[in-house]
Amino acid sequence: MKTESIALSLIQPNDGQIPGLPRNPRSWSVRELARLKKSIADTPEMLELRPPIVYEYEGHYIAIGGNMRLSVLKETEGITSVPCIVLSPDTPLRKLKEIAIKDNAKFGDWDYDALADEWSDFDLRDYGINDFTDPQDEPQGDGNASPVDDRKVIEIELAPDEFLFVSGKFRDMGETPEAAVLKVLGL
Amino acid sequence: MIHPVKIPLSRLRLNEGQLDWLPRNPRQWTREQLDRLAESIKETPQLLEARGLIVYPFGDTFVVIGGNMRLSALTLMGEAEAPCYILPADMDREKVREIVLKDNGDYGLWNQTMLSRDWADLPLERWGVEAIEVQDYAEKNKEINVGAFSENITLKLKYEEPQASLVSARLGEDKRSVLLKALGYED
Repeated sequence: MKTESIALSLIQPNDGQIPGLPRNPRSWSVRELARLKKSIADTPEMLELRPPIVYEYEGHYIAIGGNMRLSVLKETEGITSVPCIVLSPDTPLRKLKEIAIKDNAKFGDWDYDALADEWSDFDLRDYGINDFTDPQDEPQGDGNASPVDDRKVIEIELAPDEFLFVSGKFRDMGETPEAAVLKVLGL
Repeated sequence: MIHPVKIPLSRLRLNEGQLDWLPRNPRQWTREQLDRLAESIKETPQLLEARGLIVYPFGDTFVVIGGNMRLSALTLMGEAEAPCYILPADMDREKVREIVLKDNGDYGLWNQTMLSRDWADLPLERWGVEAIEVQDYAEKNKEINVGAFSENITLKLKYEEPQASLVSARLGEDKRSVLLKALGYED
């Protein structure tokens, strides 16, 4: 294992190229991608401290850890290379799988009291802390938990470019996807 | 490029608020979670090597900025030393605080479909892989989720009745084409 600077053009997302290693099982929203982009720009030191983890395969490097960051970097102007942890070529497949999962796993939890007491000057959502709730905001009293969600789900499968078009339209309209669809369907 | 160095555990300190400008580490864990982490480190030592602890000089010791739970696990395991990235003592203090949060932040989310399809042979729950339903998450963020890279993306719209039936009727059999046409998409 070694840390070295690698040209972005040589790094591929883990799309399942390595037999036996499934694709990176993570998703992200456009908004989160923008948040991460801002985070990387604000704290570039983090990239050096937590470099993407890659594995050399057929003349390229496959991203085992850091796929989302790499997709941000590839779209950031002026960045052509990035520090990476290059796994040893004899790393067993099973270990690659473990690293792909565990690099995103969380063994502990946020201490929400500590966050509220001592870290509230940060906009925590910008730091990838999405489920932060101020304990004081939680409903008090009658134990009336979240209402039952009896809404129906309509699923529409789109190709990536179609999706980008659709989400861009929704954004332009300034509506939630649900409201935007009602509007364009004339309902 | 920063490379991690090995530091004896006897010189590492949990961040308990010793630095007057840095609040204690805002994370918490149970003994059971700690045992699982210890087991995981034993199983995948490569990941510890790739993700050294992030530490800040404090007298002749170091305060752990990123990796407090891992320090606890390593102590429990009776390890002698840990790979560490040492932050410069003159680093901007605000930066150090950002690193505490960002090292635990999480920008994407697990793709449930892929996890259950391709990764189910791994003990995911034991590794702290929290299953959040993509659609709940998308709802929470008022955003559509995007699969990484090349795979098709499922747009999920949630409606109460009667809107659900009206939208379904209007979209008909070929929901994708009708939606794209309504939005003015040109292939």
